[in-house]
Amino acid sequence: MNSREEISEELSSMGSMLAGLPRRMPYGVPKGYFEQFAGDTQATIKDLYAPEVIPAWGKALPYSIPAGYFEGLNNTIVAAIAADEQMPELPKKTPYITPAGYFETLPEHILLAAKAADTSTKKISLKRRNILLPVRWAAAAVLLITIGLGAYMVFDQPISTPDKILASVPNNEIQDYLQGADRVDVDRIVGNNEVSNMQLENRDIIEYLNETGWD
Amino acid sequence: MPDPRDQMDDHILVASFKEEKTRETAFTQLVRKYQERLYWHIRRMVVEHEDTNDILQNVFIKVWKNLGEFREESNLYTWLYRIGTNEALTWIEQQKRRTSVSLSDNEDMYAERLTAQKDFDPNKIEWKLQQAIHTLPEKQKLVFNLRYYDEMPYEEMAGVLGTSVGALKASYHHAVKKVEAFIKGN
Repeated sequence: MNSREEISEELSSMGSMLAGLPRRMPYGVPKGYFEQFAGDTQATIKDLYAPEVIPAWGKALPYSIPAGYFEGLNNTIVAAIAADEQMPELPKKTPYITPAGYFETLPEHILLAAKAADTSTKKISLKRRNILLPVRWAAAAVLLITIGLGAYMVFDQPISTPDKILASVPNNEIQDYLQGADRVDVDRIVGNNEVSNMQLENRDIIEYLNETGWD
Repeated sequence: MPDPRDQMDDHILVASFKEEKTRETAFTQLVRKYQERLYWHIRRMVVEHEDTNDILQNVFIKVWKNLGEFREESNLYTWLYRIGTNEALTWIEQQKRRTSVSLSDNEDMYAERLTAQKDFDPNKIEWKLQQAIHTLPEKQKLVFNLRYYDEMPYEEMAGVLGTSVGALKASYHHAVKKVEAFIKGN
């Protein structure tokens, strides 16, 4: 049994109608296509794999270079690298000046200041400078808000402006309040021994003052 | 199916190709021997003659390039079909990517190609059969064509498609049923 019969029998065994159908392809092929195909393919392959032909145009370039360029190129490059590596000497001196004999007397000044601070409540001044200012502003803000809300509730009408409210508070009351707030704050800070526990040395204090200013 | 004489001829062709002096003659003989079988194998997949011609030329260019290293572990006929199949499938994938076709658009693409063929007549059974075949997925289409038209034994098909004989028989069976259903429904 040849392949064709075998395949027809296979289709018959499936009960397929294809067993009896013609197997010719309906597509058309250009006339003479198969006669030419082998030659065409051979020609294509020859084109593709033909050895590369370099045109006889010559390889000379029309550009010119200075006489002796390549002979001196090495030295030029080495010199350029050496010049690059020589960093210009930048001045390391700062332009700022200090009073005459400042650093000589500084330790004594600091020491005296530290001793003086040790015996008074001014010991906390390092922290106080930073802490009191925000506290004052916060206290003033709380006061203004309290007054504002109170006025709003009492008069049940829109408050004119914060300036007017502030103007209505007597100056001596505000001063008393602020002094009192300071005192409370100072007492708290001194009370918790925060600064005295820091065991600051003169060098630390000088460094701190240098960073933050001596005023 | 290639008979033993063919295989002997193929062996001589390959040996002649490997000789520098006889390379071109051997190659021309090889092209003449297989051009029509491969042409129809490819054309059944891509429908248009011009596309088939481009793919077939690529196939033989690859043959020219690689036949020198062909070790004859499989027979030449299977090797050529494998190259033809891969080239056709690659071309189809490129077309799909280029046009971003979905599955239904894929059928439309083939339907358009078929109706553009000279002498297309939807009432003739051979055209209807082609329409039916092009509703199959690509791999199943290959199995059907190799078996139905090329009359290739399943063992040879396994070598071409890299699939087991059992899977190929099942695939062919399903393909036949689908083709029948299409013809009966149209």
